[in-house]
Amino acid sequence: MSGTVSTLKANNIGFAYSRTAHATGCHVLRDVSFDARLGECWGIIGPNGAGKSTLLRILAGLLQPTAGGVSLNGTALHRITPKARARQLAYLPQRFECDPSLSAEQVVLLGRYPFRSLGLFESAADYEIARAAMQRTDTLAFADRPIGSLSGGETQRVHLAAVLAQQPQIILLDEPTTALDWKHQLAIFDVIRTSAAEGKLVIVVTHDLNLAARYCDRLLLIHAGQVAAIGSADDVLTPEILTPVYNVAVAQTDSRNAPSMLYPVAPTTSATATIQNESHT
Amino acid sequence: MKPLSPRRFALLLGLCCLLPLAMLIVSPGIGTESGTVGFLDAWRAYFAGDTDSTAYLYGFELRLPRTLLALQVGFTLSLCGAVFQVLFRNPLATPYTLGVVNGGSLGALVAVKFGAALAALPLIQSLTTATGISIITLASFAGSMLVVGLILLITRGARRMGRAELLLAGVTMGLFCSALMMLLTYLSNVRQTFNIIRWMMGSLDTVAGDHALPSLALLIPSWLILLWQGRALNQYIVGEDVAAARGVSVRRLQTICLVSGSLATSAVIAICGPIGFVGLVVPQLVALMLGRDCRLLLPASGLVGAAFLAGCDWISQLALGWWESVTGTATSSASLPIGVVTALIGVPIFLVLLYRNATGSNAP
Repeated sequence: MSGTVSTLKANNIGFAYSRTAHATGCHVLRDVSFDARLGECWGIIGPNGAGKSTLLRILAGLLQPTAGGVSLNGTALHRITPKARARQLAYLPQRFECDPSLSAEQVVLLGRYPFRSLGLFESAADYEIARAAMQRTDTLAFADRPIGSLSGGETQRVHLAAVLAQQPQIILLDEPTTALDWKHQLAIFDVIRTSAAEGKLVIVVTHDLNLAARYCDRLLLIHAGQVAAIGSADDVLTPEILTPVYNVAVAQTDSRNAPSMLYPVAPTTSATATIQNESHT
Repeated sequence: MKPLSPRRFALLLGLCCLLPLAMLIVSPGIGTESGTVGFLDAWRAYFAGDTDSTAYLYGFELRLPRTLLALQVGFTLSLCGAVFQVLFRNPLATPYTLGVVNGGSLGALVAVKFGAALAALPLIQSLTTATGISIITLASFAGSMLVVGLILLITRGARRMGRAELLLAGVTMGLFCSALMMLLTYLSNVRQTFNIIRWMMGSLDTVAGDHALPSLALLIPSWLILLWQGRALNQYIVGEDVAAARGVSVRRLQTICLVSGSLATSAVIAICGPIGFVGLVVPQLVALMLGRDCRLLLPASGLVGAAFLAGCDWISQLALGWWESVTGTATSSASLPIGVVTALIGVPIFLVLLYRNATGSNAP
């Protein structure tokens, strides 16, 4: 499969970690479907343990769904060879086990792996692409420093550069901004936005609903392994939808001069109950 | 650390190649009886074509083959050590991690104790006569492979081999074999016990020419397969998920490395017994000096390990001579056990490097 991709399709994906779990109906994911196109930025949101990371790993081809499937341009993901898949699709996990003695540039160059089938060394073009990716993520300044000596924000940007160096059509990011300060969060999301504008599909798992609202075209709200809502930020991010999913009363700022912001109010079940009761009466 | 350019790779690997090569050239001059046959004597006899002389015999039929064997064994143990340390992401992992040594030792012990009975079996009889391999070597190899095979069988069902599970399975199987060995040793006579303890110390005293060739047929393919995994192992350093997402078949990589590593190690142990510290210390030493890029780390570890073991073997042969000339008393043995020498030399070097690294004077 060498042509360019235009769609990533999830068809009724279901997943259980073992056969017994499957038999007893203990699913991590159930009936998840959506249809994403190049040039879009998707946000996968939902509470802890909802199945967001599992879904992303399935989309990356790291896990086999127990039901349904993923297709790239109509071709089932598992029918594509791992290397061909890696030339279309890059994945950034939440946690790294990276050897701290590798330099930032070495880490970014590793992203070129799918493009060299023989040959022991990176070509001049590989170096060029890696440098461009580091330029984009503002990491060139510490290219020679060992990754273990960088701050959390710098490390994350280096890993993002490695993803860009892979030159994928589809970028899958698992909580890329967790543990980062505002400046670095915005820097990462800016790169995400630019990539989407260049015609790539970016799917990002995040807990920051306000950033998701600001940067993502489409949101997928997952709750207990199922799709709770899907659509634009305006459709999905309403207190009525979020409150039962997050089990927290949610409020929304309403100001003419600034984008509206969501914030949690009270982490109690009674709060949910109150709102639901009010809606009944 | 700069990324590995072809130039840097060629330069560093070339330097590493020089070590074993130089040792091979010097080897006819170094060994027991070095007082009677020196470096020049041996080479002079070689170029004169004087194949019947003592100098030729010592230099080219005893010392050179023995150094060749040491180089092979050192290369294998050190290369496998480097691979296993990356694979288990654990600095304590060695080629012996999966219980290869204990299985091999148990096999050797069985051969020592029941050798006569085993040798009478027609299958084993034909094997030993056909290959010229001793029954202890055969039994040790079979023991190692049995243990490794069992461990791979146990962890086979897992979607992905958990590193902790593999390590635990290896250590536990090792302990089980050790218990069986203790039982067998307890039931053995003094002579058999002595033989097995000597075997456990590791030795290159085997008549080199006998074993070197059949083992190379197994070793060279294993080396090539392991060296070929350098780029995939580099991806593995960043994490299993990232490696898999970039197109590395993680499970296949793990299986290839474990099987070829264990096979090569078993072959080496079967000939020389367990020789410790080479597989543990040398790869880490090389990583501290040359960085962790597996494309360089794997071959460089092998070459440095080869030179290290050959050097230790020289010391093991010469040390007793020095001891005799210092004390004036004769010793009963020709050479020290090689395992003792590798540990006595390797550990201090390693501790110094570790200390320098920990105190930051040699930060990576």
